[in-house]
Amino acid sequence: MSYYVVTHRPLEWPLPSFMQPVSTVPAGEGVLDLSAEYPDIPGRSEYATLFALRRHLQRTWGRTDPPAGEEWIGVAHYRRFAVTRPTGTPDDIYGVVSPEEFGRLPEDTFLPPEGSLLLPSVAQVGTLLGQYGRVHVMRDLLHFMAIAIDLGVIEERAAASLLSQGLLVAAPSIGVYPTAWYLDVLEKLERVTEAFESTVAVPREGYQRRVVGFCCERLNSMLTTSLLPEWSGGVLANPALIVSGEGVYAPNSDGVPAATAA
Amino acid sequence: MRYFSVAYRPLEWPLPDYMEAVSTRPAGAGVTDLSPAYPQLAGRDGVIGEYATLFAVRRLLEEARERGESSGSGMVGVSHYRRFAVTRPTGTRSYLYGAVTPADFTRLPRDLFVPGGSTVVFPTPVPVAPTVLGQYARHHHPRDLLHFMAIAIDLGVVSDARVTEWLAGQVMVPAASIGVYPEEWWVRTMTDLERVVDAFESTVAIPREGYQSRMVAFCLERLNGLLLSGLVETCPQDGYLAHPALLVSPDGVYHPSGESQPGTPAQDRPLAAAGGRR
Repeated sequence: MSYYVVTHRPLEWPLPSFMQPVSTVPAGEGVLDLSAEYPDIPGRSEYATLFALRRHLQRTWGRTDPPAGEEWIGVAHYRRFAVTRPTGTPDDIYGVVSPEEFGRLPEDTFLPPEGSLLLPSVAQVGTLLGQYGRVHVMRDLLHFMAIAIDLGVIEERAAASLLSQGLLVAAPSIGVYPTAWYLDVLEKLERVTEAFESTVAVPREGYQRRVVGFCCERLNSMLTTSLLPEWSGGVLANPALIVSGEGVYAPNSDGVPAATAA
Repeated sequence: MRYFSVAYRPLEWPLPDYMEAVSTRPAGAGVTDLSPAYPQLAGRDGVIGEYATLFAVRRLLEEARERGESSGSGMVGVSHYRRFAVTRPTGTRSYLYGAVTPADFTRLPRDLFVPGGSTVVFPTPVPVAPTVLGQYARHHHPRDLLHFMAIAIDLGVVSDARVTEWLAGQVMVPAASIGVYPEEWWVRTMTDLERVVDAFESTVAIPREGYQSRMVAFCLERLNGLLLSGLVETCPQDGYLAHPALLVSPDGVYHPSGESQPGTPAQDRPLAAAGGRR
């Protein structure tokens, strides 16, 4: 398997050697920069790089399906990692470690036993609709989900049910998943994103500028929670690990509550 | 005050003389067909239900206002064929309604339908589960409602926060189109609803068959209920009356109708998830 770390700037701490940093903006030495082939598109957050990664991998393989040895894929997002056991100091929905502690973590903190899914803990948030509306712009999610249904990405009654429930995988893009399933999810998210952006998207300022990232996160979460009931292998889900210079979780610069800033 | 009763077929019982039976299709003697005056609404009740006629009535009221004709109390009343909002509980409880026979209906006093002054009358809201969106999805196509509500926000008809609260909430107003309302609010609301319908139909609407062909009426019922909740919040506590809607029924009970009975009004579909209110 391959393990990728999506970044948008030079890393401030060394990664384990099995992790490959990747970006869609120039991000310094050692980071696989896909920006020449797949430029970053504002608003898509880490999904810009993940969409680029999906294309890059399939182009490199010369086929859609992963070759032998690449049946599983690992993904982290800058300072967020899915972990196989509770790790770090609990803070908000994360476990926090310093860069020094991060450097000492064994490989199996990030790599689950063969055949097991690894993802961040599933949180309960009331209803997905209500939680999204409290922190973002509801019309964006309504349009986004309606488009996802229209494109056949999610069945409409399942979508309505999941939006009425409160299961949320915060940062659902990180973890270790079957590659074919994960790339299929990315392809679906990209189709919805492109349809949304080309029809009803409204550019937003400040924190809300990452509107597509927020909508992708919810749909990604819904597709992930839909996978779990039919998954016959193992599942490991723990609070995501955050690497923090201060050793505590610091909400992002927009001042948004931590639990909602994936 | 003018009181309109929307019909789509000949009336099977006499209405009180202060009610005007109106339609947007030929519906027999005693029913004023507004479609010749507003041809753009003719035949649209198959998709937008009773709102086709209500949008015509809105034009009628605005034209009357332009001619300087006074609306009297400033209120307007609306009923829908056999459904009426009432000022006090009436009839035998049957599903969401209070049911009466046609014979009983003709003996009901005027003040059961027409409140005094500026009192608002509407059907009692009912609980739904798991959410308004989830309840909608059990009976209809939720992609329609998602698009419809998003468009309503985009047009400024309703705020983002109100839609969040409503769709994630557990209350709806069945038959939200009937009742007695301030005419100015009602005209503005019908205008807004029609704007959303026009935008929906010209962009993302998908024609559907059978019972679901009235998908726009189903979406309108939810949005109308949401807009009504905004009006009620501005009313003083003694400024509105909400009771189960009155239903005229030949045998005095409510009979659900559904996909096997095309041509029935949108609200005839049972609210199976309405919190055990059946």
